[in-house]
Amino acid sequence: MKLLSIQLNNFRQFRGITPEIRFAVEKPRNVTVFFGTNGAGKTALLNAFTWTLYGTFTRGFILPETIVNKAAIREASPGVVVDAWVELKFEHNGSKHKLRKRKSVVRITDENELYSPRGEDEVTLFVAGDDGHWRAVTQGVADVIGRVLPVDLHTYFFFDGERIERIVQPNESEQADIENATKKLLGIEILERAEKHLNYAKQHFEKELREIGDPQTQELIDKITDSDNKLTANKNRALEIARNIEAFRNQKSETEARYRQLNEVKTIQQRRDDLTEDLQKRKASLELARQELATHLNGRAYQVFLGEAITAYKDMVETLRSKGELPAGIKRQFVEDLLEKQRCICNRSLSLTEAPDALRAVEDWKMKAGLADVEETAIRMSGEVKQIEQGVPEFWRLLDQYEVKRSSDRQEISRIELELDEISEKLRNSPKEEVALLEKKLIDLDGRINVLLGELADKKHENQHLESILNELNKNLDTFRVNEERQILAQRRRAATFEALARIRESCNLFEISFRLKLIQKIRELFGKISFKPFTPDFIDKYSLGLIESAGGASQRVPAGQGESQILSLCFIGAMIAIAREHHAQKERLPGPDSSSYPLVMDSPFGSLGPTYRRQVADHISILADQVVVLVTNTQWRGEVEQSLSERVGKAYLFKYFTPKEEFEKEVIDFRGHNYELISTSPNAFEYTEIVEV
Amino acid sequence: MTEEQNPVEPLKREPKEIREIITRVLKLEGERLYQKQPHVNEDIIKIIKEEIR
Repeated sequence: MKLLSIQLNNFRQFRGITPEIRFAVEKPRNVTVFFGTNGAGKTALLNAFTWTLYGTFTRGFILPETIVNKAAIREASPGVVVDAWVELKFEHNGSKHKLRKRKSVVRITDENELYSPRGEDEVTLFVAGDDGHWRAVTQGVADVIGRVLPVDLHTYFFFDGERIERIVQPNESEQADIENATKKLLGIEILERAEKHLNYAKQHFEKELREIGDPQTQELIDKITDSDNKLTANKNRALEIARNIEAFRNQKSETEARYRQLNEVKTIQQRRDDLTEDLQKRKASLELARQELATHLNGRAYQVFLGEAITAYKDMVETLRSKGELPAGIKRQFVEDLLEKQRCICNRSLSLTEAPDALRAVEDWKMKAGLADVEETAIRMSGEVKQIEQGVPEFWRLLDQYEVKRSSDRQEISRIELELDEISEKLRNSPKEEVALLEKKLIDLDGRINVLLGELADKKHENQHLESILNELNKNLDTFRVNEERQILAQRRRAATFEALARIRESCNLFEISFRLKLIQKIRELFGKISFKPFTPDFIDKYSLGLIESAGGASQRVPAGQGESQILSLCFIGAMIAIAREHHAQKERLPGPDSSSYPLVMDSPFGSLGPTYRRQVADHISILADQVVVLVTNTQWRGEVEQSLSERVGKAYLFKYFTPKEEFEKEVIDFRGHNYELISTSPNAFEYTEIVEV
Repeated sequence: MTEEQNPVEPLKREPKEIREIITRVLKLEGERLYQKQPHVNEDIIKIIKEEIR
């Protein structure tokens, strides 16, 4: 997808029809920049994209229900319909698309309300034919857009830079979103659909087989159906539990947020927040140490048990030595040559008739000479044995080191937990009723979450058991002897469907494994280019990212600061785009989103970065995506970002903000040697923004 | 399972009739991916019946 242009009418701050804003498309000047002061409409423009394409808004977009420009409504007479619309033009696989979305409201004269909504939002999509004429797409507009850039993926391509750290620490439902997005990206969705429908076909053939089968076949099929139903019910329950846990966790965060507002307990809650964060870090560190310990044990623990074998080996070598068989000192081939020539090196004959004693003596040497191979092996093995022996103390040393670390983590965890308990106790007994009630609610929520987590673990365990039973039953059914021709056919069809299902599941798993692997490789590659810190990104959980420091051999998780989290998020997005692009270029692929080119629209992407990171991000921004649109304030732009990006800017626009206030601080942006005012006085009582190309 | 295993490999494995079923089912799903109600169940049963006679 290439963004060509956008035009707005009465959309939020933008009053009336803006000019058609064209975007820079081709590299190297593939960056379009918008300058605007705070509140001038940067976030509004970002949301003009998401609203038009998907009907969604970013988190930072306040009052999403008020899309139509207020001044336009106020100026309209009662009963008059006022429209806001956005027209977006983009190119997809060579053809131009024009998408228009309209929202209408009616001006009313109510004391409290300015307008009332009027009908549904209207969406129209046109595609340009080869003759250049626009043709309307009458059905399935959302489907067409879904093929261009799937809705689950859009948050990676249109994002609010001030909130992007969240991408690297997703909660459960956000992790699920990433998983869905991944499926769309790689076309795995098609496999999932096939799985669902083949399952239906399998049941169909089972039913057929049951109808014509003998009582034993029927019994077997009934068992399969029964286990299948149980498994489905369990899986649904597990999903429900996960949703409930998520809901309780949300309630918990809301309650905690309320604490942070209460003056009496603000500081205590702050302390609790800090402790909770420490606790999580410690737990993560403990888990990491556990994994490292497991790797250590898997790789080296065997050495400890080799003591006896090593002694036996040494004894054997020593015995050979004392018998003079080691070192062998003479090659078998040499002795064989002498025997063949029937003459010794001392020129004595080695013929059986002439000198049988001499011949026997030399033949004895042939046996000893055979040990030359043994000697060679002995030398090589001695080296290895020595290494193993030396490795044992090192093994114990590292083991002790891990234990020390684990025990310090455990101690710290119990200390933190104790302090958290004390805080909770204090709050529960607070003389202030609201505080005591809030705390009781928190304890109650924690209790519920724990119960649900327990149930979830049980269900998962139960499902594993059910799956193995089902596997066994299915095998039995496939090999079950049936006689009648019709039965044989039904059995074969069922078996084939079952096999096809198993392959599709296997393929799904492999796709996920290879995707995660590719994703982390790409993220590391990009992070290595942008960050100057010696850290390596890694997955801590399914799709949440952390940083690992691997200086001096032992790797350790390090806390990612806000800057690093933002960089990680950008790398995550860049990696997603790179994978989508590569996937498209593959010959052998599943039908997924049909794009080889992706845009990146970023609101304030340099928000909380220090100067070095700002430069690094700006330097690499155009390698992240094929087309980049950045929305920045004056302070975000000037300096490093300006120096790095200027050469790559193909189009630049100004959000000229008009304020009704008489006194305001002037803001001027210097772009390519010209000064532009970002704020001016409004000629009327309304604030609004105009877009001007510079 | 190795990390290098090609995710598409299980879909292409012998025997031929299973491979054919998978290929045809995926093609059908692909064609109807963006339809709200794809109604593919009966067509899939037909594919299996055709491949396994």
